[in-house]
Amino acid sequence: MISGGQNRKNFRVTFALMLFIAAGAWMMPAGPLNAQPLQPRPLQIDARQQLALADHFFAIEQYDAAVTEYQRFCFFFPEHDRVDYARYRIAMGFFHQKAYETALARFGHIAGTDYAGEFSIDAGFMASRCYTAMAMGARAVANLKNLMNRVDDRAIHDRACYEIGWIYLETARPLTAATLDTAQSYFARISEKSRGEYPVGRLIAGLDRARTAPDGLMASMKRPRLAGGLAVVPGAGYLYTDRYQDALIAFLFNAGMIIAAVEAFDNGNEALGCIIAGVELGFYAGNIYGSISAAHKYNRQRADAFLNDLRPHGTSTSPDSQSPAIGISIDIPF
Amino acid sequence: MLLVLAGPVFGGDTTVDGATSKPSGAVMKTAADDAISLFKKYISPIDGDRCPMHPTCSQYSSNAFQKHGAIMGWIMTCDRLMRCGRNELAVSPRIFVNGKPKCHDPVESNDFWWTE
Repeated sequence: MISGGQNRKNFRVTFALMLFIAAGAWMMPAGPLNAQPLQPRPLQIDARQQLALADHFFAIEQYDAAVTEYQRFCFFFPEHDRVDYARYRIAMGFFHQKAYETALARFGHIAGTDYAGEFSIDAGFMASRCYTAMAMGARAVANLKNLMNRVDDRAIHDRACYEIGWIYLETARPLTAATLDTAQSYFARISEKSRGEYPVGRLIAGLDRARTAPDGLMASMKRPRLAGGLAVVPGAGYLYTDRYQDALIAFLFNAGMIIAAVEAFDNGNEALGCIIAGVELGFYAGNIYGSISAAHKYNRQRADAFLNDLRPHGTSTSPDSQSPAIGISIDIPF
Repeated sequence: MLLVLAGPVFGGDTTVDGATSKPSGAVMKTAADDAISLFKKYISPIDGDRCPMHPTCSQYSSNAFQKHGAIMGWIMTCDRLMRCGRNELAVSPRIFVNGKPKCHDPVESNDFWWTE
């Protein structure tokens, strides 16, 4: 039990201590006694330095940091004549980060409705690339056609035709003769003046060959329905799609299971026969499904290989980078 | 295969009784999940990590049942079991899983032609 007098005494002692500590803190110098007071040196960054930093991050593919620095540039130097460039690079940064919706909004804003700004044409093309990346090929084509309608410039039209041709090739799956024909027609629209800039002759010849040659892409494609139909005989569908091992296994396994089910029923083991037949039904259907799937995979693989061969080596169809490059491919069998 | 058929028997939460029973497709899916769980828990550790595909056949089966239900899940599982470790190795891309080369063959690589 603490008395009231004791309480008051404790309070006085505590109050005196707090007062003493507060006075000591107030009188104490901020640093060591012999230290000079710090003179903060103001760091001044001009627009050129800020932009150089942003470009540096962009060049080393740190797009997140690059976007931040370009935004800082736009904030601190809103009247600078490179602000449009910074805004375009911000959109490009989002594009490289695969934030396609954000990039699309930014490119759309830069392009505007009349494509009048310094970067608006490039932004219009990049907007189409965003649509393509989001698997919206029709929107990508419509966007470029709109650009062609609004800009009366032969070089821009040629570039748009080149891009549209590639959009058809890259987004249409499965790749059909009609798609190749459409893409070819757009490449053919590129004017003579621009044909040195784009490998038009090579593209048209490649597409023509793919459509019509006996050993071209279209002739080598497998027909999924035929594969499924052939798979009525287990393994035949795989055989058609050049999967010989799968074909052998499918044939032996299904034949074995069918024989086992028949034997079980013949020997009066109806329950066992039903179980085996039920399981076999799944594998038989799987054999048909797998054959159709194998044909589609075969076609997709062939189409990808064809487009890789067709694509100009060392260059990109993107307007962002058109410099040649060297690549190394390592193949490890296992 | 027998595990899938045995799934409804050993499946803990699978009840097929009157008004509270699940739809037959859901029951089959749950049964398949139970069977795959049994396989993963008791057989795979003894059998060893031998599947050269990624995801493994049991995981692929589970994904197929989850994505496409009982019938298509069962058909896709049978298809995968027949393809496992043969021609698919030369067709599908290779990836490294825990330092081991595997053949990348997810459900999406086999249903793209009717789901996209």
